[in-house]
Amino acid sequence: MIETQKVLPERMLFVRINYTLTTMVRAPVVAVCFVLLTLSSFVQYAIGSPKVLDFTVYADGTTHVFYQTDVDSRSPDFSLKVYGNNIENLVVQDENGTLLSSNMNANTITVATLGASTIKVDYDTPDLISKNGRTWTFHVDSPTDYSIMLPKNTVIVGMSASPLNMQIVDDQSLISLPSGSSDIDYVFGVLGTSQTATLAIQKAQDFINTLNSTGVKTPMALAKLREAQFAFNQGKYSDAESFANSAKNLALQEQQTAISKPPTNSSDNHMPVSPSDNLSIYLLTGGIVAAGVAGIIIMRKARSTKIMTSSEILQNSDYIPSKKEEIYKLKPDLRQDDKEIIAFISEKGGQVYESELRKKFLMPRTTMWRAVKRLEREDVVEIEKVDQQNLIKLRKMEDQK
Amino acid sequence: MKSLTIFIATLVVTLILNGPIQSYADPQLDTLVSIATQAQNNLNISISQIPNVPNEIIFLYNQGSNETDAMTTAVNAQDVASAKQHFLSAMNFFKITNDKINSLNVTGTNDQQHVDIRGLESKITRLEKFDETLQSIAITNHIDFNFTQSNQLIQKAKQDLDTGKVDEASKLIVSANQFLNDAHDSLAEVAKQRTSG
Repeated sequence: MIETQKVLPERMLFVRINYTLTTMVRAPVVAVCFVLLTLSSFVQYAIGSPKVLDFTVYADGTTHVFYQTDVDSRSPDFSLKVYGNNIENLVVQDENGTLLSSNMNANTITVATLGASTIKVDYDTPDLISKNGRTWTFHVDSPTDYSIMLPKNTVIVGMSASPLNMQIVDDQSLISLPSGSSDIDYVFGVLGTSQTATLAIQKAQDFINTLNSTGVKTPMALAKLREAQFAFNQGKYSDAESFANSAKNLALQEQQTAISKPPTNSSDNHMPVSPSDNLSIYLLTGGIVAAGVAGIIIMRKARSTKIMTSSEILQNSDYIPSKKEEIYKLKPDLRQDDKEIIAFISEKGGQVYESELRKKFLMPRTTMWRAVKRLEREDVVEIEKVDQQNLIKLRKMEDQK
Repeated sequence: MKSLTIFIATLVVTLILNGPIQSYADPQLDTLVSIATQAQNNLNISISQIPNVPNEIIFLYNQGSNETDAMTTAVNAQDVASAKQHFLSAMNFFKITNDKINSLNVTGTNDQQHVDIRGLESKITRLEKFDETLQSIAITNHIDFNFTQSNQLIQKAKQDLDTGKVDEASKLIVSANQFLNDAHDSLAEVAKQRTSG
């Protein structure tokens, strides 16, 4: 229907065509909108539902896989592909910790979800790691972002994807990686780790002891060995190993020098004091004095440092945390287990040590650390280092309002 | 009516687009530097221990080091794209360098017993985790199941391994694994009965 609105002064006729447009287009557009809206819920469910994928690699090349995803509670079962063909210790739980039964066919697990809205899958597989010589390679092609925890005393020597983040948790590298295919090459027992440094020091010590027991004096080697031990105590494993190797070489040189020297018959019982012996005495004295000074400093520091509990810290501060209800309101999409952590922190006055959280929820260190980092990313908590411990504090939500 | 149609269309498009799109944060540049530098340092020490290092290894290592330096420069300039590119390139050179060192077969000791012990230690750690998970499920679901036997077997296996009794430890690990698999099946059966009942 064409409607004449008004005749403009310049004698132009203005015609409003909205009724024509709506009449012709309205019905299909609305229909298409509803179809798209319906489809969007499926697309969001398939792609946008929260997923967690964590890999923990063990020293023998077996990988523990943890996968968590939301599932349609109206569907009777849920199928997912597992990584690898050899699966051990498979456990599937729902969000309440109820064990769900599952069937495995090839590398697909079908879980009877029984109305669950979230499932957690744990299993071990040796199929993600291959070994060539002393190099181990982790390979995965993941549809989602994931994290990988490497074994202790390993160093990455190759990586085919740029990591999103890396942290050191319990002396292990925890790396976050984006979705897609990636290879991580790492080696064990490499130079510069505590393991190899200990071995090198032990070998040097044994060799020097053997020489000393046969009457060969090794003052220079002993001095170098003390340097190695000092570096080890400082956590400088690479230096410690290097010093230990030098100590062994020095001991070898001193042994050769002792063999090449003809035995001297002194007319009296006084042993001649060589410059190296003097050096040894000086170094020994210096070492004792340094150790004494270090001991005094440590004792003084220990006396002055009083380890406080999180509640004691709270008493001594003006910190006013957010209420848990306030956080839940501002962050309605938080996971149930994260809400429980927030509730506990809130009960404790808004701040607790990470170790307290682990005790409360009986969670392994890495799992709790991931949960805390997740809350940190959500701007719900902040992490502060206090007395070598992680103090987890609820953030003030006023800024986010 | 037209404005209503436009509003609905906009709403639908927004809903569709907001769902699947995931935002990726830029990689922490410090992480790139840390990983590449660690690889560089360790390869440097490994190479220093090799008598008569082949020129190819030195060349590859230097290429990786140059890429690491370029990456550090990019990081200082906050150039994320360039830093990522140099990181991947550096790690590729370091991987090839490591493979070449591997082929020389001069570094690292291949102590079979040490490998066995490491494997058993890993198995024990995994069994402990499996045990903890099942215990947690039993407690959560108020299922009275006695895990004393698995705890004892795992503790004994640990002790045997510490004292060098590798064979005994292996047998105990097999027993503990079997016990925990049975425990898993029992718990699953109870859960099934409860949900179907």
